[in-house]
Amino acid sequence: MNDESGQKYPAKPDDFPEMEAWERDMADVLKKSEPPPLAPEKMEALLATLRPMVAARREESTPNLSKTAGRMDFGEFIRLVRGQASLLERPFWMVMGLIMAGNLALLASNILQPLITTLFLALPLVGGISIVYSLHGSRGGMWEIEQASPAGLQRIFASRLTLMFVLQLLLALPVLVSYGAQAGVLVLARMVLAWLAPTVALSGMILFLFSYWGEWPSVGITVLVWGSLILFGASRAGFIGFAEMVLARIVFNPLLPLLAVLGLAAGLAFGALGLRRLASGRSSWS
Amino acid sequence: MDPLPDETLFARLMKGDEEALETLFARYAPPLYGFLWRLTSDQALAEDLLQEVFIRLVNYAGKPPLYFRAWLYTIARNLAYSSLRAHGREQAHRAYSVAESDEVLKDTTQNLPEKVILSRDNEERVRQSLERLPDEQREVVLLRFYQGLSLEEIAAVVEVSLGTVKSRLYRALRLLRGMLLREEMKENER
Repeated sequence: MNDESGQKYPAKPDDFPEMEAWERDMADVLKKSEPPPLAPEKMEALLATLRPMVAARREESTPNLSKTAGRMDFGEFIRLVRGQASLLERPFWMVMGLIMAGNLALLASNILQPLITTLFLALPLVGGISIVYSLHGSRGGMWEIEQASPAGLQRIFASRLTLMFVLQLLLALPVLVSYGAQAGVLVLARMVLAWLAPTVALSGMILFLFSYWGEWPSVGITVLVWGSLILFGASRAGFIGFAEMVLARIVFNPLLPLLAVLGLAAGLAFGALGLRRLASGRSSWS
Repeated sequence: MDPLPDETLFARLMKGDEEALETLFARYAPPLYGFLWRLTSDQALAEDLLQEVFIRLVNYAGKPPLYFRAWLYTIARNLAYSSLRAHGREQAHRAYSVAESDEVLKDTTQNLPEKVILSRDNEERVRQSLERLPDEQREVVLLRFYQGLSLEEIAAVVEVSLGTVKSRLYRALRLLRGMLLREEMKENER
């Protein structure tokens, strides 16, 4: 770059304190000259030429979640999960810590132990909300950054979902182990289903809703749906000590395996649709 | 709501978002066309070049530019000059020679009135004067006064230093002023 001298204009372009009157006058004169108008039909024709090219790019760039998941190296994936964990903010860890502490405190207390079932019934909701929390940036300004990251958007999503699932499992584990130790493996297996199926179903639903409408509507609708189901069960149980009754009805329901399979399938399907939409960027900034 | 930045829209366009294309097109097609028309003085060529710029944009597969607007105008400028060269029309705009420019500048400081007074029907005179500017001066005037680019953006587009842009802009304005004043005096003498 050669510099032909001159400090005529300040570096900031939009004000010209050093601009002399004649220069301003010239600038005004120049602005009076207009180009011939570009015909709207020509503009539309040009856009029509460009649209198929853009559509072709969309097809090229539509992410294939299963394709990238198969190529993940386990050590690399764990490092990615740890990286994602470091991005979670302190309030999130505090809430998770409080729930875990409450869990353990209720289990340790003979008097308050029945309340543990209430907490257990709320865990699928906690799982769903955690997933929305972990992905909320991807629907906003983070999407472009994540898209450009060397790890790839699909791997980032997979690592976050894995992280959230592990955290939810840790929250549910004390109750599962405690009840399993008392009532045997069969009850433990049914309790795992009673926890896993609603957690996956609600997570899938909330993810799908989130990809369209964002945080608050998705959380609101999911709380409403799960809360209504629990209230319905509570009304049938007569409200007093309802959580234990509701949990017992879920765990010992003969249709539990079938309902669990349906819940898991629906959750996975809705979750995949939501993730696909998030990964495509169509939901971001909307 | 604030409009989305060009860089975000372009990142979306690279992923095949048609809405991003339409927004960028609405934002840049008219000013780019004006720029190309003034640079080439040829309406049909300017339309073809506009199409070429957008085709390149849509098919671009490299690293996304940090400053979209400057990058876009760089593409447009380079395409326009390549096309003019290919058609053997580098001097199509009848730029003043150095001697002519010097004479105009001398007149400006010695013999001509202070102020340029142009009526609306004298747009043609402005256009002709712009055409007589040397390429390097004309392009900075076009980018600054018609496209509204910052001086830093212009420096990036024409690939010279900021000081050079300022200097070219100053010289171009002086030369333009001289040409317009001379034309005005001739008009008054008739």
